[in-house]
Amino acid sequence: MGVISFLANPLRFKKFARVAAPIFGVLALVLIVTGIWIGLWRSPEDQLQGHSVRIMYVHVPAVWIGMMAYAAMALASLFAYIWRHPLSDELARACALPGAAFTALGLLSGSLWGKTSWGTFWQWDGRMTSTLILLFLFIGYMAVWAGTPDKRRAARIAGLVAMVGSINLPIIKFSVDWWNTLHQTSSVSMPDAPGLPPSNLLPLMLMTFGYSFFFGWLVLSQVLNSISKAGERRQRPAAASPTMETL
Amino acid sequence: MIQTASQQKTSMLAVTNLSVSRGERLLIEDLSFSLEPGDTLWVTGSNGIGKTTLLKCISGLLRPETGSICWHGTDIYIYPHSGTGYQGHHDGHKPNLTALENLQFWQSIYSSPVPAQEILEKVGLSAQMDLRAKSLSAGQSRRLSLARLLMKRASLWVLDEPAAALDIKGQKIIQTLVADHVANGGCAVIASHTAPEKIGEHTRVLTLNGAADA
Amino acid sequence: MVPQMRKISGIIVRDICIALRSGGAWLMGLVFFAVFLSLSAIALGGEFKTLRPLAPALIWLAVVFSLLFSFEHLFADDADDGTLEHIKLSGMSMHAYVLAKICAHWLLSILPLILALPLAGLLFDIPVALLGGLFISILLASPALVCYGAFSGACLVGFKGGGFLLVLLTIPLVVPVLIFALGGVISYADAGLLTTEFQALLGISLIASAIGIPATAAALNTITE
Repeated sequence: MGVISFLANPLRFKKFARVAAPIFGVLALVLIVTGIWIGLWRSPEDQLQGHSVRIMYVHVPAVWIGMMAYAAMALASLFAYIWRHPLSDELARACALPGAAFTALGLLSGSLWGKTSWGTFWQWDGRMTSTLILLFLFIGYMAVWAGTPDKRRAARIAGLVAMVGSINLPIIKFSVDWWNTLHQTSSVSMPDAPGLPPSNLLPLMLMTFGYSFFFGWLVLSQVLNSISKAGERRQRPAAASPTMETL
Repeated sequence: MIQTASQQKTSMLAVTNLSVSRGERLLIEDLSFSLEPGDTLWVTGSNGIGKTTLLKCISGLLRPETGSICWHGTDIYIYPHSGTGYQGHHDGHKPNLTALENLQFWQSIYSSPVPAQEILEKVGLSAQMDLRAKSLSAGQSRRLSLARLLMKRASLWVLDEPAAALDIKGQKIIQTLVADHVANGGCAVIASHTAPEKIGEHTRVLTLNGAADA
Repeated sequence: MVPQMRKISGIIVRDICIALRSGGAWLMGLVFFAVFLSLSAIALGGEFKTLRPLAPALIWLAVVFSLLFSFEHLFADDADDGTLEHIKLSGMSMHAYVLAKICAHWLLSILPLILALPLAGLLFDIPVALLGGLFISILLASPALVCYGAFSGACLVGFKGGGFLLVLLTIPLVVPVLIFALGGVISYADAGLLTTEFQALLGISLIASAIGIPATAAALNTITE
């Protein structure tokens, strides 16, 4: 709470973001590069899936960050809605495009992985299906922002869309999993993080943190950008004072 | 002593230090005035200067960034009240309902005991009672809007360009209705870009001026 | 409470009255429903043998799409002609207004579809048990469908080309409805009324009403600013 109210001030946020954004960027670069290096050359292959398991290091963190981005977007929208804070709106808006991009990356890498483990690029597998729906949610959110001319209204409506979507996300995920177990009898499932040996877990974690910092860098720079733009536009001459006369 | 007592008396509508912006544009800065029963306030100024925005703020539709708008001493954005009748650019009638049905709908919304026929008679629409709203003329349609304000028994009328697109006769009828309302202890805020006319005892004109570069 | 009820019924009566005088525009959803089903049957070859197993899914899709397109104008008319502003200033709670609009829309859009179900059943020659499952699933899911549709409709008032976006916004929200409804239709034939799917559907409808009505009211409050 303290951190939030501290950063709610646009000037302090600007100061924080100016310092934090480059740090996030550098951290992201370092973590992703080491993650890829360890993932591709310094980790063992999977007993069942062979080298194709290495796609996981790109795929799983991308889906995670995609979901995290949606959660962050909904949370920022909630703050914006309750306290009518424009900075939170900017924050929510800045989450959308990177979030959608990570989700799309998750789908793309997932389909490549599918080709090696299922033999097809697409399966109506539980995780793939709910990731696809997540992408639809992101697109809807961005479309609302893009199509509403009045910015204040766009922010509030898009915020509502994000909040309603986030409440539904667990229901969607649950129903899709239920549906999936009903119809899918046998397929090689993608490995999940908890069951992984440490040698596979390390690159996965490196990539997850790397992606997170990359996401943080994208969001902070986007918010910085829009704050300074809004600042320029604000500096217009004020209205002249109205006059009152009696008839 | 009497002087202080009357000064402390709260106004019907008190606008204090109001600032409003629309988008990135600051429209109104630090505006204060108050209205008492029997007052008429004309709001004039060129197009896009903020007349509609000011009227929406007064009615309770648009929360201003700074400043307060108080109705009998309480902030209308904290304690919404239904004493204001707002008439925007649209008449707001359903074209496929008759004049009477349109008004009866608002009677149910306002839980008003006043019979709709009586009000239609007052605004001179008794003959058009069973006509669908789409076949009313512009003037009749506008009068039906004022009938809604009468149905609401609102003491403050906020009218945005009530005479727009009306002929001289139509304008006169509207003005008579407003004058009646003000004479009965109501008050009116009217946005217009035609020349303001004296309505009632206490008529004022508020002229909004745009930014220096506008 | 009583005055609120009178206001709500006032809006419902008005909406139905307007719809009945609209020259049949309110029946377009039903026409779309029929056209969609006929076109599906033609595209799939018209053999009952292939159509019968697909019928529940096709009928459900027809219901969803015919409903989705109807939400574009649910609030747009009241918002455009200023009625919404007057409602807001009347002191009537926006929740009550949304509830009234949703009830009216249920009567005007979903009820005709439910009544047309037996005819749809004839088009695909489906057994009565399956038809019963369809009937119950649509009935149970209808609150969720109208609440989410109304929410999207309220978000897109004044939006150019909002129809497609409305579909995009609503589809992710109705995915669970579709999944449980079709699961329910199948298991109703064997297990009867008390299936897990129907319970889930009822739960989703409750959640949807609890979220959808306040969210719709909030969106409408925003667009009148």
